Order: sequence, then C-alpha cells, then structure tokens
Amino acid sequence: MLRKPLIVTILALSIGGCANLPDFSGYTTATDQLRQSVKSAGDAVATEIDLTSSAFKESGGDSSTITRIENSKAEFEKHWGYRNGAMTAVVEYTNSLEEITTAGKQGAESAKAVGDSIEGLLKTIGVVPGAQLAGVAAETIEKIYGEVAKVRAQNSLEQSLREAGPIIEEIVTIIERDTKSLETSFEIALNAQLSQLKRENEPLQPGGEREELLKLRTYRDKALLDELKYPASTGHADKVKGLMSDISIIDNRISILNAEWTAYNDSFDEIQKRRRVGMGLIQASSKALGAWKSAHNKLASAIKQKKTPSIQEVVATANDIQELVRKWGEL
Amino acid sequence: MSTCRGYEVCAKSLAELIESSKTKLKAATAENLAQIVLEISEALVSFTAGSDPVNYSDWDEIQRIEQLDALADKTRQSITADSIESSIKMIMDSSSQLNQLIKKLKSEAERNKQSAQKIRLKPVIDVVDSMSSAITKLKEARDSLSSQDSDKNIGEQISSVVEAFNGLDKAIKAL
Repeated sequence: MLRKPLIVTILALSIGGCANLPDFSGYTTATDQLRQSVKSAGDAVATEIDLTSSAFKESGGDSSTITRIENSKAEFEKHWGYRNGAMTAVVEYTNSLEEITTAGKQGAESAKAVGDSIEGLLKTIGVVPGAQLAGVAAETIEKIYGEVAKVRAQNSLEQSLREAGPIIEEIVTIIERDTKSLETSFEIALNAQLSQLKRENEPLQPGGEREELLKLRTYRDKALLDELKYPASTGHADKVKGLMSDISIIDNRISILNAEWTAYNDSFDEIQKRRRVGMGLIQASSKALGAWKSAHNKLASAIKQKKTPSIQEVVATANDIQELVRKWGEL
Repeated sequence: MSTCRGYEVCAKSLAELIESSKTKLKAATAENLAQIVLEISEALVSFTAGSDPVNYSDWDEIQRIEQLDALADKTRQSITADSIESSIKMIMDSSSQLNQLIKKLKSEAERNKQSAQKIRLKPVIDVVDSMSSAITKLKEARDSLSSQDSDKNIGEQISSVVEAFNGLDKAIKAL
C-alpha cells in the first residue's frame, strides 16, 4: 500500500514543482469592455458624420460635397470595422489565454477522465485481473497529470505571451493612435454642425438682429419714459403714440426671435452634450488602450516570474468606459 | 462678427478669407486640423452674418451679396468634407498593417486553444476512448462471425470497426 503514494510523490517532484496560474477572468471581461468602447467610439464618429451631411443637405448644400461626406462615412465605417475586428481578435486571444489557464487548473479533472478511460480500457481488454490495479492506475494518472497540466499551462502561457506580445503591442498602438484621428473627425463633424446652426440662426448671433432689437427696445423705452417725464411742447401725444407703436413692433419681432432662440439653444446644447459624452468616450478608450497595453506587458512578466499579475488598473479603466458607453447609448 | 458693406468690398473680403483659409489648411497638422477648420468655419459664418449691401433697396446688389454668402457657405462645407476625408485617411492608412496583425493574432489564439485542449488531455481521452470502442467493436465482430453466417451483418460490423479505427487515427494525429 505504500508504493502508490510514493510513486505519485516521486513523479510529482520530477515534474518541477507547482505552477502558479493567474486568474484571467477580470482581464478578459475588461478586454471585452475595451472592445465595446472602441466600437462605440467609432459609432459616435459615424453618427456625427451622418448628422453633418444631413445638416448640409437640409441647408441646400452642394450635392457633390454631401456625397463626399457620405462616402467618407462609408469608408470610415469600413476601416473602423477592421479596428473592431482587431479588438475582437484581441478578446479571442485573451479568452484563449484564459482557456489555457482553466485547462491547467482543471488538470486534475481532465486527468481523472484519462484515468477513468484507461481504467475502462483495461477492463475492456480484460488483461487486468480485478478492478484494483485499474483503480490504482487511474488515481496515479490523476495526481501526476494534474501537475503536468499546470506546468504545461504555465509553459504555454509564457510562450504565447512572448510570441503574441509584439503583435498585441502593435495592434493596440495602431488603434490608440487612430483614436487621435477619431477625435479630430469627431470635432470637425460637431463643429461643422455648430457652424451650420449658427449660419441658420444669424439673427440670434452676437451683433445680430436679436441683440440689435433688444438695444433698440431699451432706447425706445428710455425715449418713451423721457417723453412722459418731460413732455414735448408740441406733438407730445403723437410722439408717445409713435414710440409705443415702435415698441410694439419691436416686441413682436423679439417674441418671434425668442422662440427661435429657445430652439437654437436646445439644438446647441444637444450638440454640446454629444460632444462631452462622445469626446469622453473616445479619450477614455484611448486611455484604456494604453492601460490595457501596460497590463498586458505586466501580465507577461508576472507569468514569467510565476507571480500573480496585477490587472486592477485595466479593470478600473474598463469600468469607467462601461459607464460612458452606456451614456452614449442613451443619447 | 466681421462686417463689410457693398458687393465690391465684400467680394474682396471673401477672396482674402478664402486665400488665408487655404494657407492655414496647408500648414495644418493632424493635431491642430480640427481647430483650424473651426476657426475658418467661424470666420466664414461671421462673413455671411456681416455682409450687407450699401443700399438695401438695390435688389440687384442684395442678390449679388447673397451669391457671395452662398459661396462662403459652399467653401465652408467643402472644407469640412476635405478635412473629414483627410482625418479618415489617416485611419485608412494603417488598415492593411492592422489586418496582417489580426491574422497573426488569430493564429496565436487558435494555437492557444489547441494547447488548452492538449492540457485538458482531450486527445489522450479520445485515444483511449477510441481504443476501447475499437476493441468492443472487434469483439462484437468476432462474436457475430461465430454465431451468424450473414455476410451483410459481418460487413456492417467490420465497417464499425473501420470507423472506430479512423477515430483512433484522428485522435492520435491530434496528440
């Protein structure tokens, strides 16, 4: 009876000690959130380009210019689609790392399945007298292979992180750099909509009709008050009547412009709200890509040094962007 | 708001504005492109808001000023289209490089999945299971030979054996 544990111990020692396999679950979730934020950031830009071409179309803009903007949007969607594809590949890759780790951790269960299969085989062949030896074989295999699985997983992780590291680094660097262009496209599209809005509401702009009328209204009010305080010796009644008529005309026009002013401000605020959330999303995605890249590097060195990797930063950033993605979705 | 009065003055003012816009755009970098486009757009909107005829009763002059405003609008929208195109082009430029990297990463992920399968000892389990299955089938085939003479039945049993060995072969190759 002493032989069995002895064999197991010797074999286990010969494998080379216990491997410390990391927990990837937080990392894979964070990576998927990052993928979603990169996608949402792209969606935000596509939406704003679309709204820009619509605004130009409504203003009776040049059809060739509008077509160019629409084509740009189509090109953008196609090429941002590659970024989305790249992020999906990164997620798949991270999942595959988690798969290796899980496989390593579940080594004992797998080994048990092997043991059971071998036990079944031995019984099928019928060369093993009795079930006892088959049971011993199964248990031994289970214990030894449990450790083998962990060591194999550790080696596979090291190898994969070493080989995929530069690829990942390059992908994330490209997308991180692209977020700058994304920011530029987003700004240009939003600013174009604001300029168009201002152009369509010229009377409401500083120095425009509304401002002039408000000034004029003040002058007329003052003139009326003066006339009432210090009545003219001749034509007082006509002057008062004239001033009151002017004030009434001015008020009517101001009331129309005030209604336009409310609608203008609402549209203005809406664009600015999209700017805040969208820009926040793009910038947070850029920051998250940087954090992810750094976490991936730390992950590689932690696994090499057989330490548990620290992925708190990337998880925290992912949580931030999840909120921004939700806000953008609500707009 | 910049102002100009009269067609001649406004036309000159717009020409200068378009000229300076071209110069600014030529000097723009990826970092300041959005800001420069914004400044130009604001200046063009300001032009249309401040361009007035000398004589408001001169219908012909009003129409000509409106034509200048329309040109300013067209220029503004065209500059927007140009700058959106150029900022998207920066994204397009690295797409092929990115696609190459995606392929490499996908193959790395695929290799990891295969490693995980091997770590789970799935091929070993498959081999052993296939062997058990093959042996069982062989035994059944042998038994059927001794008890029955039906060729058809033997053929079917042999096919099962071949199938089981094919499975075994595949499992061994996967190791």
